[in-house]
Amino acid sequence: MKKLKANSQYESILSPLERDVLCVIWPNKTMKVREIYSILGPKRKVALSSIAVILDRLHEKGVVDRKVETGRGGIRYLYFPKQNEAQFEVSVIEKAVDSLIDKFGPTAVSYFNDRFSKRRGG
Amino acid sequence: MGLLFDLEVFFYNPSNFYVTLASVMASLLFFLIMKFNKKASNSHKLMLAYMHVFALVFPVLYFVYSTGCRMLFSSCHRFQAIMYITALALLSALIAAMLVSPLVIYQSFKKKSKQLQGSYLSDFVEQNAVSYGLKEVKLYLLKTAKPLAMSFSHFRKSIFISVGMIDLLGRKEIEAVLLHELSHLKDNTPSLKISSFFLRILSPLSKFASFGREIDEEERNADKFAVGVQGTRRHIFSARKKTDEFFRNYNDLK
Repeated sequence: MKKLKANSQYESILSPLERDVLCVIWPNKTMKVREIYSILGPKRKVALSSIAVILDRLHEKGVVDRKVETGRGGIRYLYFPKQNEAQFEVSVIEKAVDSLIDKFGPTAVSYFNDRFSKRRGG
Repeated sequence: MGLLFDLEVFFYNPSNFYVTLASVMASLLFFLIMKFNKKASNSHKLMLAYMHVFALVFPVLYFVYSTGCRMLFSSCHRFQAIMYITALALLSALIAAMLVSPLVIYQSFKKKSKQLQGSYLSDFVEQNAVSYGLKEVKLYLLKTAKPLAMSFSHFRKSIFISVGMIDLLGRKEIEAVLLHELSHLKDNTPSLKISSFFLRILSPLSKFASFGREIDEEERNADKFAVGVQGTRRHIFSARKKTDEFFRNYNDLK
């Protein structure tokens, strides 16, 4: 659970369970709903249906993608992250900066300029 | 402004007013019989629902004829025109109810699906369909994570089951769901759900009679069928519990 707790920087954009699901799926790349449930279920005491709902929401948000696997073992969705953790972080920052510039226009741009020049200066 | 003026002119003629009033009264009467006649079978109730919608639609068509579409019936007397409009309204209600609406819903599901062939689930459906006297039932895999299953008896008998349903349920639970849907096909009951859906769109009175009780009864009967075949209520009940839980979570987990 160490890794799960360390990801509180996404609090404003992801729910706690969404964060936990992403933390499981990032290192493993492609996973079935039941595989994610087998990791998170006992730790978080969540139902399989909750994991399925969260994965569907992450898919709607465009954070994860999925494909249908039809094999000997049956039919299921395979979920995989659209971006790795670093790329996801960059996209979160981009969205936050874009939204600030949209809201405050030149004031936000000049603030960022001041802020970054101060940082560079020392 | 133009519409209000047309309405005023339309109702200024007493015969137009009485035709409209009679049609609305007939519509109300069909609705009341449908709602309060407890002895009526589901197919009788369906027929009354369509007659209710037809009688509601009729004054609209009659008004359209009276205001702008006279050319269509220019060579007829008023009585003949009313006869033609009646036939037209009946025909359009029939086509909408029996052909267009089921086709639209069926096609919208089919677009998001692919047919399952040569899999354990399609074999299960095929074998059971034959033993219950159903000629050919196609099984489609609906590409959504929401746990959904439904059947269509119009055109070709088909069952749709979603990937989400398969992800969520165990094998015996999925079989219970498929048996539930086969029961609907065997009893030819999916039309009630489709009709209820269109009644909600077409009739302002649908809030007071939406076939909810009848649909619940059919769902219970379909569940009973699955229980009878499997010899236990465990699987269909746990399948229902899991899908209900999903949709509850879907609204809560935001």
